[in-house]
Amino acid sequence: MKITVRLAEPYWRAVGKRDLELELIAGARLTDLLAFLNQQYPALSKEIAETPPLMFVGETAANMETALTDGAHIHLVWQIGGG
Amino acid sequence: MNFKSTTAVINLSTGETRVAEVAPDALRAYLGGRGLNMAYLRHYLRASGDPKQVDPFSPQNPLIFGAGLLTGTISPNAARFNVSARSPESGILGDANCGGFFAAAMRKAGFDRLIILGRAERPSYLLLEDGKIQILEADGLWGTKVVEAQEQLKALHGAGTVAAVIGPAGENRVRMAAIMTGAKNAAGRGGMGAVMGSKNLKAVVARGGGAIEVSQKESLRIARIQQQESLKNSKIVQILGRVGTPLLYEVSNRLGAIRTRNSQENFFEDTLNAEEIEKYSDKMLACTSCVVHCRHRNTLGGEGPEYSTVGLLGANIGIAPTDQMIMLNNLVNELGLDASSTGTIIGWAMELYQRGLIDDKICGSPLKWGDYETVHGLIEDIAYRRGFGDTLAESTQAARFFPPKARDYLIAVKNLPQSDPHDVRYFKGFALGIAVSSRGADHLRNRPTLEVFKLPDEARAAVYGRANDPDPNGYKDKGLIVAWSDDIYAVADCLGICRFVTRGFNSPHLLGYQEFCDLIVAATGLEFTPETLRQVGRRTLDTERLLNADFGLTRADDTLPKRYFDDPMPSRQTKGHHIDREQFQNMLDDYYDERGWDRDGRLPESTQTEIDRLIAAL
Repeated sequence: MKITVRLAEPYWRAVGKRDLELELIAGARLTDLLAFLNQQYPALSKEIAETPPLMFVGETAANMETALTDGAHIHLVWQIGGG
Repeated sequence: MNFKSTTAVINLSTGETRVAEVAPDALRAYLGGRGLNMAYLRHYLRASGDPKQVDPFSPQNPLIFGAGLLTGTISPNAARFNVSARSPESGILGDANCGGFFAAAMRKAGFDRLIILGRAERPSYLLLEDGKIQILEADGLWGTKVVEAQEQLKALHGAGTVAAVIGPAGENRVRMAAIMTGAKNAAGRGGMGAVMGSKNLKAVVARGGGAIEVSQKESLRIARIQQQESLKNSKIVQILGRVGTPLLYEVSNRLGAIRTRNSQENFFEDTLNAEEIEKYSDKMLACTSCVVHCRHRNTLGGEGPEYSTVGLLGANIGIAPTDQMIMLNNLVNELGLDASSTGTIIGWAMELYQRGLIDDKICGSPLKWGDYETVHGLIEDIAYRRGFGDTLAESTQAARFFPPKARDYLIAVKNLPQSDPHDVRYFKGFALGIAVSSRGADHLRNRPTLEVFKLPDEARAAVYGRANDPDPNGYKDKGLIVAWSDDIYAVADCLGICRFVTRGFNSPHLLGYQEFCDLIVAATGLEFTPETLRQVGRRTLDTERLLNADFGLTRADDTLPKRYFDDPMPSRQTKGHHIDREQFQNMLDDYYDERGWDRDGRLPESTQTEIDRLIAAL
């Protein structure tokens, strides 16, 4: 299945682009996506380990066990909320 | 070294100036910056009789500039000062905090604090130089915009001159006028620029003097190096140095927590994301002794924008094009307006127009979301008090010109428009914070930002002093975390240290009480423990509570905009969230308990007596 991943500050700088289009096996969960990203993008893996992101699938906050579907849009944003 | 703190009292009506040292007890109790400002504000307002009777624009309203205890030293991010007076915007205590280079220059010129009384007969400015104060005529300066005024003053007095000025908004007593230093650094909140304008005071100029004397130079140098090293390893410091505060927009927007179209909606366009703003930035700038460098110099002729401006002159009024939002940012800075209040008040007026509560007869022309040309003109009209701009120049007090229902749509607390673009209906601790903030709706007083992090229980307990509920959407233990944030942010304001290196603001690390103690003893010789230092924060909050009580504020004023209680958030992750009125009252009880106040929000008599003893000895 095809999914898109949007990376917010600071994650996208480790990859060099804001959006990724990826192909995952059917039934993949967010944990599988992160494992894939860790493998493909070591610099991103380091960022995520240092500052775990808030993860959204579509409009909703998600966790590692959230199942992904074809066409899913995932957004990884930093955990921050000051001013 | 026997540390001394110098206060100059300047009466613009009589031309008299006198300089005195702060009494040791009061200095230790309040340190400087916001703390001593509050003590002096209570002193001078009460000296006039009934503080409630002191019109904010009267000569009796003291305008106090107070540098932090560490400001101008090499302590990390110690650039800041507070400006305080009775606020013409909210009618309660007014207090604005500002960075840049002015406060360090003021201290080097020989003054830790200025208390400006009276009213000059003619437009004037103050020149502080090598321990001397002159009141000079400002005829050629009056009418100038912010940067123009600063350049003229630099041309008159030479390189090394740093000025805090008002723009046309302050001159015209616009109730949300700021005092500006540099192109963007603003003592923005509460209309301190309008108070300055009411005194016929265009600028305070500082120059000359030597380095600020410190108690243990080598110890301070070592503390600086160690703390700087630690700060530079912090992720938030690194990222703020790269893209500044606009980085927060995307996070809040994804969540569905960006105040949009006066909080009728809760998310907006991606055009206001940090990397879009970065395209218009050619340099990141810093304040005195800063290790963060968070301020953009933009390619459209100004500095900024900050996250607050991105949201409030962007999403909140429906402006999506990045360049238009930045140009509005530059405009409010040039005119000397508080961006937060300006964006909130214009958004409010737009919704009133949308609902038919005001019409073209009142506005002069249609007031539509996202209409850049109209907004640009309206901001100028506010600053020069022309047409409908004259009405909006009254800020929240413009409600008196509108139908009573207009108040239902006003995003303000204690008559101060909300400072930041975060819709607080989701994180309940954020909501409690703006409800109890002593100057009105403001995130910089006490926002418990760690609510966004998924910190382990033991880490939360270590920060806040005891175990607490990790659910950011629940109502439990929010009194604890808001009171904790209140205290440490107040201490940072007393020291002149920036929020972006203060523990609890965007990070559980950064500088905490122990690091502050190390800096204080090295800079001044004053010894504190983390516990005794926190007492300074508590005392500052208590003094602010007394000030506001003098203006008639009670528990009923610790509340939220009607919309935050009654309208559920419409979209995204935050959908359905609002503030439950009963649960809110429970949070308030918890907060008062944490502060040691009674359930009506009043201080114990013994605390008031102690504060008044300290203030009497100032």
